[in-house]
Amino acid sequence: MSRERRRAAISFTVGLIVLLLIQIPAVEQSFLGAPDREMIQSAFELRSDLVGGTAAPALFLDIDDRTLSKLSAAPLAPPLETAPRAAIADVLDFIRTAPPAQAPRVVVLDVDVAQPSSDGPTGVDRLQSALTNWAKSSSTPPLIIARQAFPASLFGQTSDVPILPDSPYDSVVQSAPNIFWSTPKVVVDQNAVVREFTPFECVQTRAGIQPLYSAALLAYQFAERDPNVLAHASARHWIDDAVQHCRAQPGVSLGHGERIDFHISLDLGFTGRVWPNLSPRWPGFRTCDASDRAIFRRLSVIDIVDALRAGGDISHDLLCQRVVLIGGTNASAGDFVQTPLNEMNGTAVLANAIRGLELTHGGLRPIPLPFQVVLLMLVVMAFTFSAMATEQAKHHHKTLRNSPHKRELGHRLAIISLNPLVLNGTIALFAHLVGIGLLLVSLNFGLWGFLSAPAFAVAITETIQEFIDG
Amino acid sequence: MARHEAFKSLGALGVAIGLGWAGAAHACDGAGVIVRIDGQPQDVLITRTDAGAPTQVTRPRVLEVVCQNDVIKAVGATSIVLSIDGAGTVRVDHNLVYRVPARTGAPSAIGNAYRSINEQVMPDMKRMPWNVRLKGPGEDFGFALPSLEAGGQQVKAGARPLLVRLVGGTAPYKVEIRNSQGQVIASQISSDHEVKLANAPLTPGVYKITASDSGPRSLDATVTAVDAAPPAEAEFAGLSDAEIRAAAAASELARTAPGAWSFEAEQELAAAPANGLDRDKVYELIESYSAE
Repeated sequence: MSRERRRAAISFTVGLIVLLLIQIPAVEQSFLGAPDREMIQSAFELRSDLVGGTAAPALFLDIDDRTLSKLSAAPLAPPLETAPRAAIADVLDFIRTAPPAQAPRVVVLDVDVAQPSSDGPTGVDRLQSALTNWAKSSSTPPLIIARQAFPASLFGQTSDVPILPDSPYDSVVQSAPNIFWSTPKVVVDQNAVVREFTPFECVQTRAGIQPLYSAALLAYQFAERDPNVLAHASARHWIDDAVQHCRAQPGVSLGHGERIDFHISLDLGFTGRVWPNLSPRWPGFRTCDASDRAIFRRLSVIDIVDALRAGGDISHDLLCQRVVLIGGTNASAGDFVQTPLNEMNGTAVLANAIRGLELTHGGLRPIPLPFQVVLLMLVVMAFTFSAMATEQAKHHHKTLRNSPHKRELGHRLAIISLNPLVLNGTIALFAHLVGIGLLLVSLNFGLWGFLSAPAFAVAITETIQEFIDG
Repeated sequence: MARHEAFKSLGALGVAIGLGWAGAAHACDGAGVIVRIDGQPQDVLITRTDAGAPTQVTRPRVLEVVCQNDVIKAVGATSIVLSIDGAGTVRVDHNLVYRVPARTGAPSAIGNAYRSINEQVMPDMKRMPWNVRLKGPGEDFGFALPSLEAGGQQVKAGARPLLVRLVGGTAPYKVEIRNSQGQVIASQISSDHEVKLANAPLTPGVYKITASDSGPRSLDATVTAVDAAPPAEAEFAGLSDAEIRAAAAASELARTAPGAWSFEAEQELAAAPANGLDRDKVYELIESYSAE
């Protein structure tokens, strides 16, 4: 018995060390975090497209290949490199003129408008005018525009702080109370899979070094309806951290970001998808037509632009109280990344991040460490009981060897299953599956935790001790 | 708000006024969205069953939600394009009636689990559909021009050759053209995906194209032969190479009117003299315009 206690203590210590180490983001992103990443990935996959909830639904206005091809000057002309600014202006005007009761909660423009415009100065003027009108209106929702900062070396400078280049819209945006620059950046793991978004980055502008906040983080603040939830949202600490970080060490990039609750799998073939319905408790139903209950809709921008330019009457129902994202799945932008669910467009990642923050009441939080330690103890107990059972079985095996039935398949399978490698591996795998099951429940409360890597560490330790003890 | 009015019966109207919602929108099980109206909105008739009584949605708008069991009809030359949950893009052409189906095909936990296991077990194969992996190419039989099946394509009337491009399936392929009385007016068997009918006598009217493979699988499409010529683009008249000129004009025609003239655009290119152009690329471009 003392041997079992000693082995359990050693295994628990190893598991605890792994559990503590894995709390460090750099370790979690290494091979040591792979089992837990796999665990949370499985949980995301199992619940993908099944979560309705009361978070604001997302409307994705997609600047897709069809949009770019139709806006192209000639059928065989090279494809447009960026979305025509005039088309974006048309869409913004359409949103701005929605009746106040049908206005969106927030609008995110995931197009770097500072890039050269494919429709030239005319398009730039048109977008400037649309943004000016947006800024003047008191009833329009907040507009968050994603921008890309570039290394200083591209501008002939040696600073570590990336530079946010000038744009033709700076004067409008800087004075507008309802238009914000933002960053759409994400953090990838060692397999280039996006799991987190960058909450902010420090950028150089003409006004000096300042934080450029995440589009998801900004949008969440406008999408969240409950001021109490917003005040206690775990992700909000980034807002305060950003100011201090950009003042103290602006050239040092963040080692990790804010976890994304992936729950919508927007792969390339999603045009005909059936999305889950919102919870009837969604507050938007008080003011919006309740006919469309889907958590997500995708519309091609060209359909809106065509209808607007034809002078047609367009319904604003689908905008009502929603998070409107204007982005592009077009091949010109090539904005696709690998996520735990599938290869996904960058705007779709934003949709997951914004809705995810709302669904998790302000961001995914780790399960309190003591609870994770208790889970680890349960795992170690399972190993200990199995080791004790194996000891007894070993004695039985000796009799089996002399049994005339030793060649029976059942006996052979029993012997194989008691092999420490098989037995401990099975227990660790079982812990992994239990972890997935727990995550399926805890993710609905915005909680996640580590179990798989510590369990596998315990399994390996147990197996080594088993062989050492003979 | 959907602007539909309860009017069908006096009883329904009385209830409507009594409850104070005459002309107001009602919650229904939204199953899709109107994405385009080609023509007059007042020529689109949507009949919706509201609390057991049929009501009429007058002058529907682009981006308006359509509901399960809505009966949609486009009158005259007007057509309407819908994005239907679970069915993708649906075009309702003139004088056709479409009933919005119930939302089906929603993801399930079991489906997600299967997909997850499938990707774990066969990671190197997951980029290919299961039927291609197991049976090889040839299963996804269809018209290369996606909008053919949806209806609404027009072709210039007259006795003329016709090209029908197919994808997938298993050779040999057979294409038949039938008139509105069901009589076969042209037929061709081909071992190639490009089935060329040497002479199809098309008088103005509606024709059914039936394509089948050796599977046997069969597909139907409807095209309308009209006297009117498709809009011509003068911009390319100066191009000296007749094949290039035809390719540019056909691409432009398909780009500007993908729902109506894509099939005719392919015919115009097919009729041009060959001069070394990789026509497959141009056909694919034409077909891509009507892909959605």
